[in-house]
Order: sequence, then structure tokens, then C-alpha cells
Amino acid sequence: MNILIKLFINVFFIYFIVHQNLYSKKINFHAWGGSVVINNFISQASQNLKKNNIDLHHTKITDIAETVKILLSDKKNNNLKNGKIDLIWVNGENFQRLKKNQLLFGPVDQIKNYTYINRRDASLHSDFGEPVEGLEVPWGRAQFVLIYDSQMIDKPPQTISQLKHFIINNPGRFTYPQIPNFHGTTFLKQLLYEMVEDKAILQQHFSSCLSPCKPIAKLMLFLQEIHPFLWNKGKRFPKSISETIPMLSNREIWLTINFNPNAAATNVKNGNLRDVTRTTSFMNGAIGNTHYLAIPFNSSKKSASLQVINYLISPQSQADKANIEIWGDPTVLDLNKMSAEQQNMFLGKQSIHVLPSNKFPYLLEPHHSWTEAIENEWLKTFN
Amino acid sequence: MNGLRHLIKSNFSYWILLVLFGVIALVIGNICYQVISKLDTNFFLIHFNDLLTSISITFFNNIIATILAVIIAFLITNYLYNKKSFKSSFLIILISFPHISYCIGIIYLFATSGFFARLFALFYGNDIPFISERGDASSSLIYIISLALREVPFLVLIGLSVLKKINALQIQKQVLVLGHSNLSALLCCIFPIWLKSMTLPILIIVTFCFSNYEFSSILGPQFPHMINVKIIDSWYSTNFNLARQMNSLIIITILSSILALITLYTLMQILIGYLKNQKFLGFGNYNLFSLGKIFYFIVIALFMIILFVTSLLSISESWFFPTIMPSSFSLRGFDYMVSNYLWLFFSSIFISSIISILCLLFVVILIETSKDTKNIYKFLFVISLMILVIPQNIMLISIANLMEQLTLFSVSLWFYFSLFIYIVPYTYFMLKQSYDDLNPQYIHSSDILGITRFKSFFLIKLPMMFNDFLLIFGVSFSVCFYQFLQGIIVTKGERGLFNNEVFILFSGESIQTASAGSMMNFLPAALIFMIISLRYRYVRV
Repeated sequence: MNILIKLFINVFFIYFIVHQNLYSKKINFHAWGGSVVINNFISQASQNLKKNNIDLHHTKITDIAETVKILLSDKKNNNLKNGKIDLIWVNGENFQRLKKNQLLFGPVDQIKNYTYINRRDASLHSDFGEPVEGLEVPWGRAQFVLIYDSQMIDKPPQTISQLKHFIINNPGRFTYPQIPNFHGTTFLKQLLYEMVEDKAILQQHFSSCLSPCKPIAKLMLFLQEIHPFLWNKGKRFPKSISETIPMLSNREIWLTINFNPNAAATNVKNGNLRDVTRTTSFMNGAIGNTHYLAIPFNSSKKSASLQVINYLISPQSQADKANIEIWGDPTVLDLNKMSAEQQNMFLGKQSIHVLPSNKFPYLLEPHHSWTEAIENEWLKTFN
Repeated sequence: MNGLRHLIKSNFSYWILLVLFGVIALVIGNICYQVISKLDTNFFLIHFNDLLTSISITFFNNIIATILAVIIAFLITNYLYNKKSFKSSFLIILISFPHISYCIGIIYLFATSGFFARLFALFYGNDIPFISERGDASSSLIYIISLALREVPFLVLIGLSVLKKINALQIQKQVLVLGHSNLSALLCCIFPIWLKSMTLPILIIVTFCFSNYEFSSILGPQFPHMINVKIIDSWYSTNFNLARQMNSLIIITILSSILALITLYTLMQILIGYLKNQKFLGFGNYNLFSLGKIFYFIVIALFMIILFVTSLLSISESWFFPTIMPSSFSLRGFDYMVSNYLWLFFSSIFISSIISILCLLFVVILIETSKDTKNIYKFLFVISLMILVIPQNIMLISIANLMEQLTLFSVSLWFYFSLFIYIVPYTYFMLKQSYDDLNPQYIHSSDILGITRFKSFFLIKLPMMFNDFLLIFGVSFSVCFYQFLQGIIVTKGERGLFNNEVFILFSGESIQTASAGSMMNFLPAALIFMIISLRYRYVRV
């Protein structure tokens, strides 16, 4: 009996040690979990990383703000080494908050595959006007686009005046996500770019705009003019761009905004949008931004996390990510720095639904302080 | 040893009371401390005016929805009670329907490109949906009706047992013998007694209205949002102004829900008093029975259509306006859910079952031990449980704050605790009603025969109340299984139940997958209730 007990204890401990060893590199990756294509991409990446003895676990969150709260709480409780989160998908105000509170580990841009990233591209090194300073690594790019039903719209709007003309002549067929939704705010920032003469002001802190800030006042005036002609007369808004996809497919609306030039293609492929869906943007330039990967200050597996980042920005992973059959998220890598073989990986299927890269000038995100100012003014005016 | 046993036995109820008050003091005390210590009074006063519309919309929408739910529930209850055989199984399946799926279903039914619009287009021939012009007034209306109809099955289920307990049929006969109309019997005699017995479930429903997020967020008005949506928005927000609003919003929610409880309670007392004094209703003999029947079929039809639409969405490949049926089908959504979340699905069933059983055990001990205590203690028990019925989002924010301070316990433990504490009051109020329904003669007889309380519970009460125990377990299980706010506010994505993943998917573009998840979500609770209803043709609480 005693032998049996000892045997059981030994087996238990061996199992425990093996188990611990196997999962010693379990990386807890906090990333939004609302998209099946993104979840599948991360799941595939996790499979590929198993070869490196890394178990990438995707914690599917509703909003990265949840993660920021955990990290703030960790810092408050002096949990400086044994944080549960190892990697986060972040950008914008959340990055700014993390940076301000010193909740990120860095520099993280010393990894091998960072060499493929264009160091001269300013848009990759400034996150909503906040210098990245090595605290995050670019993972994907986005650019403001307009997705439309080509059967309902012959000539899509490409300037603010054309957009206004379209809205007034097609009442109820356009809307944007409700503020403070990120994409809704981006749409307003795009309009702001179209309105201001001196675009440089948007790269400065909002406080540099004299009170009352003329561009914002002008923006609100414009919105007041178009709101009665929006979907539901501007008295109701979708909560996110995801909500606008079925509305567009059912022709409740004929034009919507998005932040992924490949979104139409991916959604057509998945049967969420009609085949007649096309993509365009503002000819004077469209806001683009980058989304990043970062490591929390208290991750206990920083080196493994760096390995994961290195993999996720590798040409192979980026090519998979850019493929509209998989995710369709534009790459952050500079194709000129790659070998011919690597470049070929990015030559995916051509699609009429996709907005060709570099077709429209790339505008930098306004300084993050503008986000809050626009949101507050919108809420004050329309709420 | 005996002495210790005696000591524990005699003081058990006080210990439980102490634990309960401890928990309440922690949860409520924490939120009060957090809110008051961080409240910016100037900001609160400045923004109170901005929030006034939000407050009034929240207050009136919820009160009206509850009143409507009570009226419809009474009509349906009366219809079902008078019907010789009715399919209660339908009713209980409706209770097990997830709130998120219900809300999404309503949206898909009433959207300008929704199911009803497609049916209309079939006859009208329009290929493009009409322009949507829904404003806040119509949104509020949809919110009120949807919320009311959603609460009806629960109220009917409890209402039926009340009618049976008060022997409504006997009352009706007696009133008729006295020469009064059916309507008089129903409205002046049966309704006031029924309403009085339903006070607690109705008040629970009011609190639920103030804490629900999915109804207000998916169906409610947007200009302004209802308070419960604003709380969650503030909780998430990186916008300093919005985040600063949270403490004010918490205070406002607590005050408005207390005010709503008082208002509704007072209204009920006035109505009961008024109706009781009305000896005879002069007007004709309206057929409320038929009205109940109509509402019963409306409720069932609505749920069935939602279920049908959700199931179609879960297997549709592309389904564009104006087609009534999807053009192609695939099981991709189910495939995704099964391959990614099957483990979570079963572990959620396991967790919800364990928590529901523990809850039942705790409440049984609570009721059993408090039986012989003084009335003041019984009153304290009820009060302490009533306090726990504070709006859920506020309770969860408080638990999340506590978690940050008491780092000794793991996230999982806080997660289970947040689920448990949410279910306890509901289980208590349902089980208490079952205990009250039990014929006291049996217990008196067992006491005279000297049977111990332990034996009397297992040999007399449990067999007699087994139906009720099963049903309460079913309700607790489904309430627990459909929780998702705990996974957002308390664990912040680190732990969650299956419904969390469904909720996240609904926030994305993957409506097919989210609907597949929704269908899976519906299965466990539906199965439990089906088993219960098959076992007991007539289920009562």
C-alpha cells in the first residue's frame, strides 16, 4: 500500500514538473476577441509558435481598457514581477495611458525581425501623436476608408463636400458609429482634416487651438447640418463599425466607414457583404494609424514575449496576416527590405474590393489630445 | 464535543447572519467608500443637469416596463390557471432564453431590413429597405415592450403558484355566488391578493431593470443613453471626463433604483387598497380570459420567432434583404464555436451547476436555521438579502475594487464569489416562497413525533419540495450560465463563462458565429427545463 502511495506521489510530482516545464512559456496575449478571422489568425500563430515551445494563449477581451485596468491595479499593489499578462495588442489612448503610467516594458524594438520595419516611416513611430520610444512594435496598419454598394452608388464621395452632397441627396443611407466609439471618432478626425487649412495644428496638443477652437466648432456645425439626413435622422447610431456591415449588406445604408482597406474583401469572402461592395477614401488623404504589440512592465516571461513579437512581425506571419483569405490586415513591413522570395509571399489574390495601398495619401493621426476634445464636444452638442 | 456541537447548532443562524452582514458590509461599504471618497461634488452638481434626461428616461422606462410586465403576467397567469391543461414547458423554456440573444433577435425582427420588413417586402415588392427613421421615442417603446415581455415568463411562473396557493378558483366562485361579475371577482378580489403576494418578485424585476446592460445598450435610446449603459461606458473609457462620471452615476443609480422600488411599492399599495374597496365594478363583463390567451400566444410567438431567426442566422452563409430565407447554409459558426469553446462550454455548465447547488445549500441552511430565531433576525436576513439585490453592475464594480485591495485571493475565487453573491438573493426568495407553500401540518406532526430537523428535512420536506428544488436549481443555473458582466468588470477578460465569448462575438462582425454561440448557449438551460417539465407536467414554484 505504501509503495502504491509513494508511486502515486512520484507520478504526480513528475507530471506536475513536466506539465510546468511544458507550459513554462505560456504567453498570455490580451487582444480583442470579437472577430472570428482575427481569432483564427492568432490561433494559427499559436500553433506555429508551439514549435518554439511557446504556448500563445489568446485572452479574448472586449476592450483593451480592461487590460489597462489590470496593469494599473498591479502597479498599485506593487506586483512588479509576476504579472499575468505577457503581451498586449494596443494603440491610441490606451498606449498613451500605459506609457504615462509607466506600465510598459521596453525597449522592445531590438528583436531580429524589426529590421524589416521602415525606420524612416514616421507613422510607425508615433502612436496618435505619442512617440513610441521603443515601447511597442508595429503589428498592422489601418487607413480610413469608405465602403459602398456600387449598385446603389455610381460615383462614391471622395471629398467632404461630395460626402455632404451624397448624404443630403440620399437621406437615411449613411451613418457612423456613435461617439466615443473609436471608429466614430476617427471619422470625425478625418472630417476635421478635410476642414482645417493648416493641417499641422492637428499634430500639436489640442491646447494649442485657441478657445473656442474654430476647427471643432466648424466640425460640429457640419455635423448639425448632416445629422437630419443620416440613418434614423441622426437620432440613433450604430455602436461600432461591425454593426454597419449587416446594414450595408442589406442596403439599409449604402455607404459606411471602415479602418481596414481590406475589410470589404474579407467580408465579401465570408458572405457578410455583397459582391458589388467596393472601397474608396478621401482623395486629399486618409487618416492612417498603426496598431502595435507591447509587453507589460510586470510580465514574468519577457523574453518569450519578445520571441512571440518577433514571430508576429516576421515576413511569413505578416504575409499571412495581409492575406484577405486569412485576415486581410495590411503589413507594417517594408517590402524593399525583403528578398524576392519573401516579397512573393505578399502577392496574394488581387481583389476588386480592396483599396490599393498608397492610392490615397496617408495622413497621420491627430495628437491624442484631440480625441478627447472632439468626443467631449460631440457629447456636449448631441447628447 | 457535544457542547461544541450544541454551541454551533444554537448559534448557527447568528453565524450565518454575521457572515452575510460581513459580505454586505464589504461589498456595499467598499462601493460607498470608493464613491464618496472619489466623488467630485462640483463635477457631480455641474453634470447633474446633463444627466437629468438620462435619469428620467431610465426611471420611467423601467417603471413602465415593470408595470406592463405585471399586467400582462397577471392576464396570462389567469388564462393559464383557468385552462385545464397547459403546456408549462413552453413557459419555462422561455425563461431559459439568453438575454443577449433575445435583444439581438428583437433587433433583427424590427430592423428596417429585418424579418418583418422582409415579410412585408414579399408582398410590397421593394428590393431596398425603407429609410429607417427610428428615434429615441420608438427606441424607448421597443425597450419597454421587449423588457416587459422578457420578464413575463418569470412572473407568470411565480404568479401561477400564487394563484394556486390563494385558491383563486374558490374565491371566484364565492364572488359569483354573491352576484358579482367575473371581472369584479378577478380585479377586486383575486388581483389585489395576487399582487400583494407578488411584491417581492416584482421588486426584484425592478432592480434587474436598473442593472441590465444588454437591453439598455442594444434596444434602449441613445440620446441620452440610459444610466446603466453610461456606467459601463465610463468604466471602459479612457476619456477623463467620462471616467470621472462613474461615481456620480453609481450614486444616481442607487438612488433611482431605491426611488423606483418605493414608487412601485407605494403604487401597488394604493392600487390594492383602491381595488379592495371597490365592491362592484359597474361595467360589463369583459373577457380578460381571451386577452390573457392573446398575450400568451404573443409572448410564445415572439420567443419562437426570435429562436427561429437566431437559428437561421447561425447557419446562414449570406442572407441579404429582401430574401426571407438565406441563400446558402453552412455550419461554419457551430464548427468555430465547437472547435474553440467546447471546453469552456462544458466548464461553464459545470461551474454554473456547482454554484447553483452551493447556493441552494446555503439558502436551505439559512432558512432552516433561521426558523426558530426571533423575528428580528428573520427580518435582518430578508433585509440583508434585499441589500444584495442592488443593481448588478454596481455590485460588480464594488467587487472589482475589493479584488484590487484584497490581493490575497485569486481572480478565479473573486469570479466565483461574484457569481454566487448575485444568485443568492434570487434563490432565497424563490425557495422561501416554496417553504411558505409547504403545508405546516407535516412539520408540526414530525415535531410532535420528535423527528429531528435533519431527518425532517430529508424525509419530509425534500421529497415534497423536490419539484421546487429542481426548478429553482434550473432558474439559478440559467441565471448563472448567462452571466457575462463578471467576466468584463471583475476578471477583466481573465476568466469568464461561455456567454462572455458570445457577448464578445456579438460586438464584432461575426454575427453568424455569435448566433451559433447563442444557440449553444440556449441548450443547457433548455435541456434542464425540458427534463423538469417532462418529469412534472405541472411545475410550480
